[in-house]
Amino acid sequence: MSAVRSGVVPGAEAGRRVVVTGIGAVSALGVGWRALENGVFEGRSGVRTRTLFDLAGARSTLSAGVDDGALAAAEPPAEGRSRTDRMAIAAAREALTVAGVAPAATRVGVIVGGSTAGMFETEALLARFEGVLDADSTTRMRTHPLSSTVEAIGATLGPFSRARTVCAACTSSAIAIALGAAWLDEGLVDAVLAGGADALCRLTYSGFGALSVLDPAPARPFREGRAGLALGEGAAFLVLEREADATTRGARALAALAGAALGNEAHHITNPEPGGKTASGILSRALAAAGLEPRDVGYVNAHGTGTPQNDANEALAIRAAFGAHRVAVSSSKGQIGHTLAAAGALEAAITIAALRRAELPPNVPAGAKDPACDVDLVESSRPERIEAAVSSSFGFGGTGASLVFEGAARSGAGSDSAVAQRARIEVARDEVWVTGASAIAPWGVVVWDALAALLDDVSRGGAVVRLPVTDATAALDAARSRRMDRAARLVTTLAEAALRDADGRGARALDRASVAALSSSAYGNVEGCMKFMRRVLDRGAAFASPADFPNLVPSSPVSHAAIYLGLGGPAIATPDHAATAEAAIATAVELLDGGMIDAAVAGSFETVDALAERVLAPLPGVASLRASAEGGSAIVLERRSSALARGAKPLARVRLTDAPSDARSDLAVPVAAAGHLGRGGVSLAAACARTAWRGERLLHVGGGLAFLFEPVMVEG
Amino acid sequence: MRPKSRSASVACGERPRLGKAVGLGAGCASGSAVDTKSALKELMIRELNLANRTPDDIVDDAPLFGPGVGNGLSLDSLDALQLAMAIEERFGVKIPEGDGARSIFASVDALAAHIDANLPAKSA
Repeated sequence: MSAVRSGVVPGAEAGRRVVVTGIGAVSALGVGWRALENGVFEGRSGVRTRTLFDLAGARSTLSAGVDDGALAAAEPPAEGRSRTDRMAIAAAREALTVAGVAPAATRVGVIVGGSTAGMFETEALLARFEGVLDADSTTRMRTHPLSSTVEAIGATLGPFSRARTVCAACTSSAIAIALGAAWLDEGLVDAVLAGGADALCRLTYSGFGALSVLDPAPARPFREGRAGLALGEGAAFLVLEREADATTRGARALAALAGAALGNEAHHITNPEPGGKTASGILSRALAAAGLEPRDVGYVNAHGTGTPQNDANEALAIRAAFGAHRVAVSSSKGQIGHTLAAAGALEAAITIAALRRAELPPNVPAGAKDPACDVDLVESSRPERIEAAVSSSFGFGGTGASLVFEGAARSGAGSDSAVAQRARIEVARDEVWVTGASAIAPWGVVVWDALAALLDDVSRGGAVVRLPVTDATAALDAARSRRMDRAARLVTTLAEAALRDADGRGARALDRASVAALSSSAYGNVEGCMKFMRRVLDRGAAFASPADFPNLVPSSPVSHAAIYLGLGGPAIATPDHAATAEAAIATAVELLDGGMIDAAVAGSFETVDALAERVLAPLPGVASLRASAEGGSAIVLERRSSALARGAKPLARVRLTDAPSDARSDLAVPVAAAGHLGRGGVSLAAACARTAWRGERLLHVGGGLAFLFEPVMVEG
Repeated sequence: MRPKSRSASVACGERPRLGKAVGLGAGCASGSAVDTKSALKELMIRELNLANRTPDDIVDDAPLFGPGVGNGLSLDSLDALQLAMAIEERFGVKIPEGDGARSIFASVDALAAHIDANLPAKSA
């Protein structure tokens, strides 16, 4: 299966290896990477009485919060800066300082994983909003978008040459790190600041409580009688560079990112897949990407949330992936809590510390191990020289990521046979082809041939057949889509139509297990958050709606699509004001070029809600709209080799390109035709269609990204 | 499909008058358990987004949980959490978590029986 290649992080060749030159962290154990490290290895816990907010009806009184005084000293409160922003800035600044990298001097990229952004600052106002924003609320709302954190980092520490926001629930910052490695390998940047941040808020606290996964006692990963997670907050960033560049400028490599793998159980929106089969596969692919055998790995930093289900299934996954090798395992979430989008990066920082200190981090708190979790837990920190270590993260919808780190020194990594066996993994610089496209706009659901023709009609002012958009998602199976909200229905319909289009263009269908899904709206599920928080504040956290909570995560719509369609690649949201589709498609191309995924369906969507639009009015993308409509787009991307293998004729070849700053798109869908923030995506889909239909070469620009679509001549 | 249950054995006086608890003021002839069941079914359709179902589709004694079971609804653990929250809100009756809940969630009949047996006492 071609997916064997996915999960490869190229750069195994000397000099192109990706190394970590900087680390920064903010957590319940303190501000700074040193504080995190000392706290972890000394076995201290940051899980204590919650003080950040009161919450009537809450299931727990505990959280792993960041000390306000320490945070204020590192990054004082400022107007228009959320708590998440401040933690992110503090951690990012430390990472850049440790690395000795100055963004103004060289091409430095930044990728931020997040899920809540300014929710702590906006959740109460969302709950109470009735149509009018005062000055204070307007300021607060500017911190609401998920992309506001990367903007805050850019404003404070930039300029950055390339910026992205990614959300994949609790794997967000792990995916940010993997994407950063891809950027380096493709020469898109010379260094990248990759990580994530999430602050505590009432919304996530009551949501996890409603799902009955918040432990009223301190969370006890892998222990008997564990009853759930401790919610934490924090931020962490790694600075990644190509080894040759780090060496040239005399920077010290703290560790090497030897490999990574991303995937998706696509099983259930909240529950892990029983048996952990997909999770085990992700672990195995990560090891293969790093050219390592299980016995080369000395330590696994588990996701280990402390919920009965996660820990049991994860233990099975670790056992299956490592076979006879009893690798040492611990979870850090008993000490720093579950930090949601920041977890991947914080735990990567801990994993790197383990390598550098030649010491294994303990699984805190102590207690009888659950016999169902048959892994070798590190009971107290102990010296152990390890050559390689893995950090794993999982999240809602079944998203999964495993990162493999090695000591920076090249020699002595693993046994001789492992070194000998380490494959020089070369990812052929295959072209990326677009093999399917769909869009939903006021005219209904269309696929490429109709889309190209309709757009011609629209630009000539011709009549367009209008189908009511409410009918557009009616084809979904009612039973299998009943948990979906409107956004999920749109994404699923778009993805299904584009994938069917791609199937039909070949002799064989695309293997759904190899397809990643990337889509989001600019500002997330604002109406859902308003409704959820209104209940929490009116009736208490005990009456928060469990089934509604997962749909508040920005990556939820694309996760639902992945579950419905059985898509096994990562499900990622890339919100970016009005360039959401551009960010999704660029991310898909970058992950394809980096060998991290084999195929993708990517685009964006927007839903319409009158009250939500009024509360979003201060935001730039919204202010520029004269009228709004629901809709979205999706295009299918796969490698040329994959398309040829299944006999598929492409719509176009696509490349990321540099374009002058004043460049304009060759084909822009008129606002009236697709009057929503996702119209860039509709333009992209249309460009692919036009390229195929007319053989035209088209440029599209948006969000600082430029895409070149070129016609492809295929024999037969 | 079994005919809708309207058993005379669920007599007035055997259970607290649901009418009092939810303000229906219904006469005894309608039977408190039947009122609970229909309120429960409407609650289920709304809370679990069973958009293509009517209360008549929901069979009183069919297993609620587990995939593909006869004329059951194939609900899962997330549905159980949602239902438990909504039932507590609507009826004031708590459903215990964990294994204790399994028998209560077995069917609409079982749920309604638990609700009726645990309705909070109202002051006069």
